[in-house]
Amino acid sequence: MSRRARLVLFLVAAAGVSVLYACAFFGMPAFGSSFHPYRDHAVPAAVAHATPNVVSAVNYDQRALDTLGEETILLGSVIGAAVLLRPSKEEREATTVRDGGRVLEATALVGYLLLPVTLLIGVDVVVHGHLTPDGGFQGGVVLGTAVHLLYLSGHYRALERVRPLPVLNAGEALGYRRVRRTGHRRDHCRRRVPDQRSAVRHLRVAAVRRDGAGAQHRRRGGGGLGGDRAVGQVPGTGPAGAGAMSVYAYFVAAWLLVVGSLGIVRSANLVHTVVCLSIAQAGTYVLLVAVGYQRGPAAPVFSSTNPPSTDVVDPLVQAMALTDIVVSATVTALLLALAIQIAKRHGMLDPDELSSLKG
Amino acid sequence: MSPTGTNIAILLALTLVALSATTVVFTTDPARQAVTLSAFGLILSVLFFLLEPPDVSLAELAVGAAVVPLMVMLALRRTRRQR
Repeated sequence: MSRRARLVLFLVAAAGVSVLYACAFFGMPAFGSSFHPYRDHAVPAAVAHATPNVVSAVNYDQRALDTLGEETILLGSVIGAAVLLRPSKEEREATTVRDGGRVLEATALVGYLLLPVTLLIGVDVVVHGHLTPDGGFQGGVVLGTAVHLLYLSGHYRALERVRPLPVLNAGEALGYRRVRRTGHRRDHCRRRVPDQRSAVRHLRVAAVRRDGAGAQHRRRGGGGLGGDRAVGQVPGTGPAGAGAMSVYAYFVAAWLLVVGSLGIVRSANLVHTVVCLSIAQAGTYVLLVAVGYQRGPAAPVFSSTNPPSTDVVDPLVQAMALTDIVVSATVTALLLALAIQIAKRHGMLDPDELSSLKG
Repeated sequence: MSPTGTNIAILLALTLVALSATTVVFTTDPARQAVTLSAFGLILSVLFFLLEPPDVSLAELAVGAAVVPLMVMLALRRTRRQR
């Protein structure tokens, strides 16, 4: 298909999707309102299982099957990338890599300056993992990024020294073992919360009240943009103008999807295509976070200083956005590995030239 | 921050996200795209911070602004060596 025909096809499809999206948008809750029915059910369910961290409860208990699906995608992507990047018969992995190359002094300096800061931030996130809604997995990502700053500043040898792969692999296996053991001890934890039943009852009552209020406001609004404005007037939510805000927030989410898809259609390089796909996927994070946004409430993690309440940030969209970001990254890795393999086989990355090879 | 201030900050962040996404898509050289993608990830994490799931913001900062651009750069290096 020629580039022009693809563009025309894209424009038709984009117009259709825009109409459907706009229709769907009119039924959505307003941006920043306090109407979060999933949150109102997820929080009591998590507290009933004595899980103070509601995002983890959503990930590992309430949406456990979805998380299993996510893990399967992750595993598939990792295996796929490993298989694609494996050296073939006539190739050998380069074991001696020279230091240096052409690295700007400014890049090296920034690398050196950022290395200790990034390491500290990573350790900080890891040790505060029990307080963050997702158990601080980002700490591991930050630590991994920190050591790779050495690579960016042109010190591959130093990177190899601080990155003992066998030790890291063993540590990962031990960590999984520990996670599984913690899972088995859930019943033990359950017994430790004495007034859990009353807390759950209290939360359920609050949730039902909130549900009733939400339904009332939706009735009054009658859907559509007028509806958004009505919900915006709920006490405790933002000032007027929430209607315009929600139009804009949902529009930006749709724009990312459309512009990313446009990039995929116009792309003349497979690496560029993969990056555009990740932009299109970023639209889904913006949409999820915009749906879950509410002005003011606390994070959905409970402790003695933050007792269980339903007035928290929606844990469901947080859990889904986190899943989304991680899955997007692994799929990007797999697709990049595929692009590398294509470049190796055919010595080119232009999708149009590649499709002409077929005939 | 006052509600109006927060609203303005969110509007600004949303606009910047849309603009930077457009920039990433229309950057044709993938090597330059790694840089614009990193900037996009950074702006997106600011938006998420304003919309109050700080952990999603942190994940976007770590994954979207650092790891994915790094992977893009490494992939480009490999494909350049093949050609």
